[in-house]
Amino acid sequence: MRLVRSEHTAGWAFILPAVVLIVAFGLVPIVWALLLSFQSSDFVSPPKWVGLANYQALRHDPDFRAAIVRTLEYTAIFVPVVVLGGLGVAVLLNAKVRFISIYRTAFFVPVACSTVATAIIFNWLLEPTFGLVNWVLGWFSLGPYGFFQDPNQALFSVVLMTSWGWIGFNAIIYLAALQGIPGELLEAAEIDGASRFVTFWRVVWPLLGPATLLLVVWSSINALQVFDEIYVSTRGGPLQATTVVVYYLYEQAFRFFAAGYGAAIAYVLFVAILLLTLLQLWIGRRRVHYTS
Amino acid sequence: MAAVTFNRVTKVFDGKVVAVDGLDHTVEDGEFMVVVGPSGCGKTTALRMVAGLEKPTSGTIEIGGRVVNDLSPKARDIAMVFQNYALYPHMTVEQNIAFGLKRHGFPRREIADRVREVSKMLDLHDLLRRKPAQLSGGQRQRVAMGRAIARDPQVFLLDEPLSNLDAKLRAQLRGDLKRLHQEVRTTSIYVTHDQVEAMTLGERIAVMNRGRLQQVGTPREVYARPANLFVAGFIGSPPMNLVAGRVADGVLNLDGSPVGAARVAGGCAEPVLGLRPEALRIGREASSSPALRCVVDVVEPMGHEVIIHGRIGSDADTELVARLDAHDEPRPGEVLELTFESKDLHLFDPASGERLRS
Amino acid sequence: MSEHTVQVPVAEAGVEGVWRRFVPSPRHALLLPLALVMLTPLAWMLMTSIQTPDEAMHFPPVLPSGIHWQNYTDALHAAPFGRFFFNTALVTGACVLGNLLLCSLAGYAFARLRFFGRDVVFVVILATLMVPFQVVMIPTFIIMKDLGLIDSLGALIVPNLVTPFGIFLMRQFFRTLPIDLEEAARIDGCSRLGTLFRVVLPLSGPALATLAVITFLYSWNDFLWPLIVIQSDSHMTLQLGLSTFQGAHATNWTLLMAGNVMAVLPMLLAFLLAQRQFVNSIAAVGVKG
Repeated sequence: MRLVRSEHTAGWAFILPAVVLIVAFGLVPIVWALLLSFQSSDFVSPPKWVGLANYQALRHDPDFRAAIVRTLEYTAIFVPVVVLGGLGVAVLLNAKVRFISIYRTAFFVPVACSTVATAIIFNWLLEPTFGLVNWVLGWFSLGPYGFFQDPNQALFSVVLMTSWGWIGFNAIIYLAALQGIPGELLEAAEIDGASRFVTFWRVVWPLLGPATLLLVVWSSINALQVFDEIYVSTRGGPLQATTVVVYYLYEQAFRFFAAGYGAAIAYVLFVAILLLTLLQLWIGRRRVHYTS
Repeated sequence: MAAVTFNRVTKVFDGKVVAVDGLDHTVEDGEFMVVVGPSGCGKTTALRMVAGLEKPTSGTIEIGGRVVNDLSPKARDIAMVFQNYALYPHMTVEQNIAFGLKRHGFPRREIADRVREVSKMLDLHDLLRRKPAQLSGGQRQRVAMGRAIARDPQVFLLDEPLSNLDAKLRAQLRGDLKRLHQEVRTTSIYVTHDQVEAMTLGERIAVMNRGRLQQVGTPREVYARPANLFVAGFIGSPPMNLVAGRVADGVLNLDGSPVGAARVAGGCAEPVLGLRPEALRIGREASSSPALRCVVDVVEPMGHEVIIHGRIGSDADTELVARLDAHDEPRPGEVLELTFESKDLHLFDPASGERLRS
Repeated sequence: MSEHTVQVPVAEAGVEGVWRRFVPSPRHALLLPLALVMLTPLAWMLMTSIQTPDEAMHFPPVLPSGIHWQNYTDALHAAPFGRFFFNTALVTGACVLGNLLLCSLAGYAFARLRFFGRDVVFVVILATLMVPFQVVMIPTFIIMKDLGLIDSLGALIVPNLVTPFGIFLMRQFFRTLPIDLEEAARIDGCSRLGTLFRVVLPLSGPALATLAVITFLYSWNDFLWPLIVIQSDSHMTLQLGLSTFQGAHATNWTLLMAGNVMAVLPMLLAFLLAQRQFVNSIAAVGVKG
């Protein structure tokens, strides 16, 4: 009995610091935020209980609705671009060619560039008058484009900016997955008479299923939460063209000091992310084959 | 069904590594040819070149009389059984077998027929709906074979298919393979590093070393008349005893003891002499057969026979292995008179390693 | 033999060569331009940072004629990048160490010890992973305000000293180690803590490295939380300081790029020096997912 009791003590002693921190900065805020969402607060005066008023307001808030649409548009473009882009890059990088490690570095290094720094660079690259991109596009008789300054192009420009680092990130994961596929399987397929297309579609792609599911879920979650780059480049504009949900949240909570409203937005976002993730996992579980 | 011919085939990797060197060989139509040799001898590379997975650096490969160097694996009508089975993990057994058939354009009805036939042949019926992860090693190998058989190709290529299985399964599947070959009679090239497998399975054996073909023949031939030192030492277990011989005064001597007339050595002054452990016997009455005095060091009882490790020669420093009858009950420390028949003595040129004609 | 050896291009032979089917050869024809495009943003940032303002604002763009170090000195005068760097290093260092220690402790307990409520607590901890940061940030801000920690580095460090993901990572790793070693240590008289530090952690290099890299990346590049909680220049992290700097000098591109280079350089260098570790860590996390 003494041994058992000491194991209880040891166990709890080991986890206590972590548990305290996670309760204090995880669980408590999660519950608090829920409560806050039913209150009206400006961070200073005592909060007032308003029941579902915040959520009702959100339902009828045209700016919030617009933010949702923006976020979904962004996600719908971002996810395929970075997942398929990452796959393409990984296939290209899956070789033992000379200089391959240099090529890999070139594609991976953007991952180390922070969101803020990336936004500043792209502000400059996509500058309508002096930017490099418009100059290059000019060679092909394209543009010049307004990019971040054109309400119709701003969101796409954000995708361009954020996918620069994310394609590399996804490529790292896809590359690891590709290298996990035994070359013998591809040889067996070649001998079985499968063309390149059939081999990729019927053998490689299914075996990449787990990685694809992970990246789709991860990229979606990330897309729904996009903020940093938008703050640094467009500040939600021009004309709210890039005001996504988290940006709207930030404005409401920390510009207009509507803490309760902000908490409600956060919870809506949470539920949305949860539902989307569950949906994707459900679809994925049924169609993805796990090899171990 | 078709013959496979290698015409002076060479394969060099990276401009430096010669994996296969001037291979010139024909596998006859319907034959079960085993290519055997140590790791790195080029046997797998040769197999992969027939498959179309590697391209010869020079020379041509023919299947059924057609030069296939530039043909894709699909166009060659071959099937392969891999060492690690290479079953598609996300497909069921049935889908695995059907995959290649679909790619080669067989109609659905025929694919179903073939799958059924093959599962009957290899007892796969209960496994058809399962995925490879749910199968044992032996079952996976049978599925891999089934996949190849269902295609009914001109040539079967087998790359050490049994080496990942335990001894009992290996023996069992060896038997299955032989039986299947007798039924189906497709030209087969089987690669292995295990000479026991080679001897038991092959209608003919091709021994390779360092990219070069050493000898081709039936198991009997390769065993009884090895063409060079390498083959002599590689085939047979325990390996052939190889000792230095000397010709002096018209007599061939093995470590001091006369073992035959000098002319047997075909002009070579210091031939290498080979004696298989099973060729040695304990000498009874005084006979004309040459005899060796052997000091027994280690005795390994094998039940029906005994393997002894001992030393012979005037200095008792040349090692020898012999397989003796269990009834002789040799003991460590004993000194035995071992005899052999002159026809069992192999002679090789020490410089070239080639067998000496007598 | 050498007479009839044909000169063949260095082909990708063997089993790995089978992947070449999917990419038209030569691969370089595709890889090179794409790689250059990928590197262009960083290259252009670098080039602009050493140009004079006139050169930079020249259209069509021109290459720099020399190295105009003035941009860098100006940037350093305009904003305390050294301070930003120091703050970030302090915060990140504390978070990395905190995570390494606390996640190892907790992860080990969840992996090997049996105690009341273990599984429930573990599940609850994991469940918090599902909740996005945006939910907890408002209440956490209020907590920091009430604790008087607004605008201090403490506010950046304390909430990030341990993460549920880190605990999960270490637990999963510990479970893959053979338990014999730990049992032998216990028999030898080692305490549980001692076993963890003397036997288990020395074997946990890869997992610890992965945790360190992931925490480092996350902490160093964190922006939203510092944005909310830090107000004065002297406490800003590199990302926040950079953003404020950008706000103040939005169209002074040469100045901006010089600041950007300084801000990005530490992480870039770390990545280039330890690329293999970074890449392996990210890939490892992908496998766990």
